[in-house]
Amino acid sequence: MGLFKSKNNTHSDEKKSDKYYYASQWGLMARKFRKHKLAMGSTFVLVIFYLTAIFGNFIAPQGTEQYDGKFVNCKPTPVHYFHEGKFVGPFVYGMKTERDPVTFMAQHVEDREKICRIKFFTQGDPGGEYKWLGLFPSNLHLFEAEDGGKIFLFGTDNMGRDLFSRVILGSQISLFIPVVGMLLTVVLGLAIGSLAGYFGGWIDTVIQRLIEVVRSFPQVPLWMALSAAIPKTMKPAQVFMLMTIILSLVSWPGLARVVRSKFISVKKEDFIMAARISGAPGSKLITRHMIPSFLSYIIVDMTMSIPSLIIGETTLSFLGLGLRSPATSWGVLLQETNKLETIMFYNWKLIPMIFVFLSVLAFNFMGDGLRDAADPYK
Amino acid sequence: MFKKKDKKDQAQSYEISPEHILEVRNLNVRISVDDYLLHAVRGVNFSLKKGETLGLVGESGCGKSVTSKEILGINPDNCKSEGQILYRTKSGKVLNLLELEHDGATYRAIRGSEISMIFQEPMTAFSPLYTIGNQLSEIILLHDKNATKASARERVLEMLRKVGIANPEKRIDQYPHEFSGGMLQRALIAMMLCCDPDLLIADEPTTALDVTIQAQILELMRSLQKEFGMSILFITHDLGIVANMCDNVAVMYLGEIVEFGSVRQIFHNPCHPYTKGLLRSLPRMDQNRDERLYIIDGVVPLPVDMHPCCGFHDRCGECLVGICDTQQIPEYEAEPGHMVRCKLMEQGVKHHG
Amino acid sequence: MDNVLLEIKDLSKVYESKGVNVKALSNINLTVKKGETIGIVGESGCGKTTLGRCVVRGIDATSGEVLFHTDEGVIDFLKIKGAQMRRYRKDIQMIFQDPYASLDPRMTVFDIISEPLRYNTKMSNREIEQAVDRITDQVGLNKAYLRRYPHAFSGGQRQRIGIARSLILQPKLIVCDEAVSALDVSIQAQIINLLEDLQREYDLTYLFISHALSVVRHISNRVLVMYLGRMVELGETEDLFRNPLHPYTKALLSAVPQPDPDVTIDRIVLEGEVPNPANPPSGCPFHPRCAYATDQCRKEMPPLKEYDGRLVACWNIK
Repeated sequence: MGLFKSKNNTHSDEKKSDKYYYASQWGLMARKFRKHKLAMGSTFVLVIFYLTAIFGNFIAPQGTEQYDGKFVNCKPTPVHYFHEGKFVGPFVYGMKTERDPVTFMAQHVEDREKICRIKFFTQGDPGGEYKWLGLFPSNLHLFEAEDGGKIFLFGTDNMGRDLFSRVILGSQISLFIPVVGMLLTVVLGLAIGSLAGYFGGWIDTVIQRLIEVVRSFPQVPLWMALSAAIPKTMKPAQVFMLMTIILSLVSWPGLARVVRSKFISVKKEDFIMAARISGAPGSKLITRHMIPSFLSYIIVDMTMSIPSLIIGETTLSFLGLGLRSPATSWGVLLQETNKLETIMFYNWKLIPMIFVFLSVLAFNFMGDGLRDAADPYK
Repeated sequence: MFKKKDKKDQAQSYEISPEHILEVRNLNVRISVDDYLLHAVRGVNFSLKKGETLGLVGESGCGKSVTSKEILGINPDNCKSEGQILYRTKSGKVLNLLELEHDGATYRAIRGSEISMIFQEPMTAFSPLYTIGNQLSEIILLHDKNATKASARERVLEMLRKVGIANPEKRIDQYPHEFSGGMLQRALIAMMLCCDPDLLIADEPTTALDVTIQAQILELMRSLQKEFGMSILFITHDLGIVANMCDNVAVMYLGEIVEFGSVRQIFHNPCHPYTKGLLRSLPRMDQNRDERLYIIDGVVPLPVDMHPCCGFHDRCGECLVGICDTQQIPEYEAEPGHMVRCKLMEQGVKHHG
Repeated sequence: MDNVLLEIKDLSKVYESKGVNVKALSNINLTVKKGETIGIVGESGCGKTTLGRCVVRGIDATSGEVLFHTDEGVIDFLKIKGAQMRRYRKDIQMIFQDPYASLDPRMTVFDIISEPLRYNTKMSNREIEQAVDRITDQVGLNKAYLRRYPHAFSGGQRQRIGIARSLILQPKLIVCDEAVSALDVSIQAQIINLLEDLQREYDLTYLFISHALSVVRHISNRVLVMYLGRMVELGETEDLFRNPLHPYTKALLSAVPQPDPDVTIDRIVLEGEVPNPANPPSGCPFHPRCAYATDQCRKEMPPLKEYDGRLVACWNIK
């Protein structure tokens, strides 16, 4: 749309349109993206998730190796502010163990006599030490209950490990594996797709067939076969790397196809011919005109591919093929819930599922917003 | 009158001149786009007699298409309209189309059987999944309760023959992609004829076609109008087509009709500086080739935040500063039936040169 | 043969798709003189756009030569490579029909106009800026807008940007492919006048491809009429429009609606449509629509022959 305003516009209006005129393609995209409320909200949620994951060891009260045998299968601890009508500030009650008179199962109930205030920025128990980003040793934690009180915001599992801590520490794997995997996918997809799209001919045919072969493998058995090859003695960090590679080896064909078809369609564009006629060499055509013209689509595609990688990691770990305890990820946590009694008695153990659900949804909405914003002719 | 309601028992009844089939009164359409409001149609008035062809001409963005779509009630939801579009139905009743609900039963009955439209891109009017014959007979069955499948097919064959499609027995079972652009436009006209409308809106029906095919389609439309006696609202930017097809012409600029008159009045005695400029800027076949083309400077502005003024004032060589750019310009009658929206027409103001 | 800029010899283009050969362009011969404008007209599928794109090497011709007369002698523009290519590429440029699709939406106007300079010259940034300044003045663009992106411009102004880009290398020949067809009437006149002014100033030669006959008549010195990839008639503009010889040219000219309600022409309304180039009729490609077709027309392809300084391909002109 040629947006020309008549002279009779007010001054302030002209200023606003000036910004529009000088906006680059990326600027316009950002402008449109900001209008997409759902996408903006999702981006906000994702930023919080990722920040939480980065500062995970600090926010989580327990480390992955810590557990407390006295508090097994503990319900989420409610945080209180008022004790008998008086404002005390955030605190939890102490806990005592009772037997259910009917089922004789052990139950942890609040001891209404004992008040344990919550302190912030405390040095944790021994065993809670961590290295932030693997570099800076620390034992600083966000919060802790005084006087030996216990806070299990999401409850505990059958070994007495704090689920809240594990969800947060698990997100470090569940949210970052997909990003690394996605980057690997992009490198593979872009390289292979450009080869096929730019050169065409027999190279294209071979790559096309390869894509079809890779795509026609059923994914789950393929993962299973590949991850069965991971030696059981490997350290979690190495397993992590291998899983990433496995995931991206299976997911590059989708992107390669997009890149290939974009190359083919953009080759026919008038502005590409215009550049060629003005003497642009092939390398400049690709880097200055062709790739930028569909970069936004690639970014959208990347965003949209993350959810399937999150699910992929979760699935692998759920099937017991990925990480194993005490290393943790959302998939590992869900694996521990695959018993009927969990749903009957310990339904808080399903909380990790909410996070898988939320992050997948948020990535999809964000991708939606990006896609709408990336269409330059709308 | 922003809300459109389908009132079964209309409290208000409307009157239009007995020879008119359509009267548009003070039509305003505003379109909300992103951050601003486009005032796409600004106070448009015109009327269309039975059996007459009215040309609506102007450059892109002048509001001609928005106006025509408003008559059919097919503008998107971000368009808000005010004014009246009075239409005389086949039963003789006068309806204000703006009061009807876009998806209401009354409007659906009017679309097609009373008012039909043909478009610039005939391809988009057909579904690629059904044969031409299927799509045409469906319309007949929809509008004529007594028609049977066999009789509908007969009618379709007759219509295809009428619009000059060779070998209709074979063509009727073909799919739209097997038709060329010109053939498809003929099929679209046949589709329109199946409903036997009183008013035909033709929105740039030949712009996508080659000159020789355009000539065929225009010829066809002329002869069909003679035969069926419908009124045509012809929307185009091509002044050559207007001169050949229309009885009356409305020249639009920036959402307003700046000049209205018979085709001879407009072409032989254009009075508005815009009409004059437009006609002079056209390369003509009978012109001396060494002559430079006349130029209207500048570009069409975007109709945002319009205040009362002549829309053309900033491109007009004869603009009266202090009047044209600050006042709403009324219509003046240059000769009987020839309306011009230009201050220069007023007695006492510097005469038109 | 001095004063000749370009000789197109036996230029053909065959597209192959799914085993079917489609002859988009058959044996075009055309000599272009320095400083003239040749109008190329015809309906869709007649090959006029293919001809233009082959000449600028936007697409590769199947056979034939485009002989380009330079100071260093005659070269075949379709075969030059390497240093020669870098040297002469800039001499033949193109203006596109669609002012929306032909500008990269991701580049600023300055980058678009200056791009050819970066590939073809070793100018410093300062020199490039000066050159861009000069050319934007020339085509009537506001210098203040150079840092804007194409989406901020209307069709007419985008076409000015396209013209500036094709002009900045100071080419000798410009192929204008429907350069004004997508524009509104009042803007069209602005661009036509601009093209004429630039031609006078830089001694440019135009191949002006268009389906708008009145525009072609206004701007061209000579006109080439094409039908189904072949030359039908070639002649001086005045002659050709006053007295078209080929039946197709006659029909084409008579089909143009005149912007005057009182002008009546004997309109020749052609029957039928342009045949499918994948399956052309035998003999003269126009014979199925021609009122004067004889048996000879149905069987044999008419050669291009000269009558009164005009080239016409028709059996019935004696």
